Amino acid sequence: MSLDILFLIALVGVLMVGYPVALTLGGLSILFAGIGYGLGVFDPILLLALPSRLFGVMTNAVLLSIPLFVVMGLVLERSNLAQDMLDAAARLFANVRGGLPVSVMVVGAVMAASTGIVGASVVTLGLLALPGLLRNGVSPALAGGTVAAAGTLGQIIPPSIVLIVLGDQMSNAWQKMQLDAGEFAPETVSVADLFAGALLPGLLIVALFVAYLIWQSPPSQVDDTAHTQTSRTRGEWLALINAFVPPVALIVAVLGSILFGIATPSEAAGIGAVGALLLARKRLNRAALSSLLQDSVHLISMIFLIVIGASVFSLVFRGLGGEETIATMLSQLPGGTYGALIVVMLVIFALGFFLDFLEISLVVVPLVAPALLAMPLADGAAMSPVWLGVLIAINLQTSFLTPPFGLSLFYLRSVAPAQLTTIALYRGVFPFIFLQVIALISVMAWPQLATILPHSLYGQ
Amino acid sequence: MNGVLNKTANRLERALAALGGLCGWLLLLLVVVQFLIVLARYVFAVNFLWLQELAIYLHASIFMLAMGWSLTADKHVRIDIFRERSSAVARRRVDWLGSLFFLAPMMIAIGWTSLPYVAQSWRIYEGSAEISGLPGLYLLKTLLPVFALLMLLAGLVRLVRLIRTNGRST
Repeated sequence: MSLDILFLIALVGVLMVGYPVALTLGGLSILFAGIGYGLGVFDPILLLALPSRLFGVMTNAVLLSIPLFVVMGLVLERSNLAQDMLDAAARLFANVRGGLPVSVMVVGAVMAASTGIVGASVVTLGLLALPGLLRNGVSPALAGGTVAAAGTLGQIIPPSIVLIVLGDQMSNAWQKMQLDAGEFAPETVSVADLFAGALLPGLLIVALFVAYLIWQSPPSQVDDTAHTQTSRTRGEWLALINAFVPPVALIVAVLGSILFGIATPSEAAGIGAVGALLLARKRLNRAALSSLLQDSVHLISMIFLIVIGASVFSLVFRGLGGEETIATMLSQLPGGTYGALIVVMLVIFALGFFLDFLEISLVVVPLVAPALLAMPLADGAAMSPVWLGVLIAINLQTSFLTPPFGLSLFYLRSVAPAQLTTIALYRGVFPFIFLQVIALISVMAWPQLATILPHSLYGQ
Repeated sequence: MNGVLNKTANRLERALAALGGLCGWLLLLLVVVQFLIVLARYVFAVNFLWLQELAIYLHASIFMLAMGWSLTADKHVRIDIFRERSSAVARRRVDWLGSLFFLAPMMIAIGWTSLPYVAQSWRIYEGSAEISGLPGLYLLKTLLPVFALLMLLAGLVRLVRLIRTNGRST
């Protein structure tokens, strides 16, 4: 077995022991560079490229939007805006069929759009919404499934941090593929393209979830609607508008300015951060602001150390010849392009049990994406990088929900009351997984779902 | 011996935390700078290259200087499927083995390779490639070996803490 494959196997094994992922990635790479040097299959001169690669990470203008989006997301999360949205929606729709779970789903979509780290949004929603759902007679299974699914939504609904990282990686892969093919004036794919591509599939998933929740909720609640309708005061509607309009307007403004090409992602993120701080100014004192900034710094450090670890990894892996090995393996799979695509999707699905979106975007995507993008589709056309990115995003989102290893389920368990048993949670997420798979298959069958928006916005 | 070690570790940890706290305020400054860039570009229709470069400088400084602090605070993500079920002794073993075999080689490699890279930049006091950009590119590059050093120091703090908790439990 060649050293590059041994390296991958060792990596998966060693990651499991639980040392920080970023350092395991970087450290094991250096060790394998040493072994490769000893065996004469790794040229140590390659390591001299390390500083300029890391300097490229430091000065990457796309990644500059990450700290700004982190601030925007944490401010929105900490300032009880989510709490207000939930309270207002719950008061108004408590007696409408499926009203409570649907409120949680919608708030989840709005909130998660800004935080974008699975753990954070699942835990927040779990703490905020789960007790209320259970108290109001929603079955533990449905409540647990709703919260897990709503919290995981943030991965695909732009502007999410993981889509920025994925977009950056897709852009590199797309350029590399074209250069390899001898195209020296490559087309580009931007973060905005991926945001635009993910929007319709993201909304499709939300719509499927909401429809399921309405269908699934007991009609007995509908009986109450008649008389509660009259008790809905103007005040309650105003509370709802007050709670929802500012954060939704902010997210729409940020996303809209990116999608319509008015602002770069980092400019839009800067506006988003300032806007969130203005919305929350009355709820944040100096101490709260300071702790919020410190937590943001930790989150940013965590993200960028993974970027650095992954950068070391890909340099060494490429130096060991791993890239050609993977490309050869993919091209020899039965079933041609679709066979390779399905195998990659299954591998990513399985990896999603252990690794977060970030690590997969940074480690796995650069390995497989250039090879996949170089394979022609059935009609002879090239594979769209936006389509591939959106497929990976939906796939991972599904993986995060799938028992027994789904990351979202672990996060939710850690904050769920004992009333929600593990079995109930598994039963509750199953329908959502099914709906996600339907969405995944739809996007696979109709790539237009992902490509039509970027196409009509940017004409690519 | 242990007393000296602990005192040094405490001092190091406080210094790293102070640096991390500073990064928090740099982050707020970054938000303001980015807002000013937008304001200048869309309201006054001017582009200040140095302001855009300042945003990059701030952005890079924040995570390069704070990653050591995040390590002492144990904020770097781990895969905890097996860690959750393992004993405290096993977790400590993972931590010191990881520090020695992953953290140290990685940071030594980054530090070692970046020294000539940075020295080259200092020799010519490298500035921005653009005329109206910032002149301190050599300082920005210096963050690389500084980052490696801070991470090694943070790893040292964690090792001392491991010795201490070991001593206490036996």
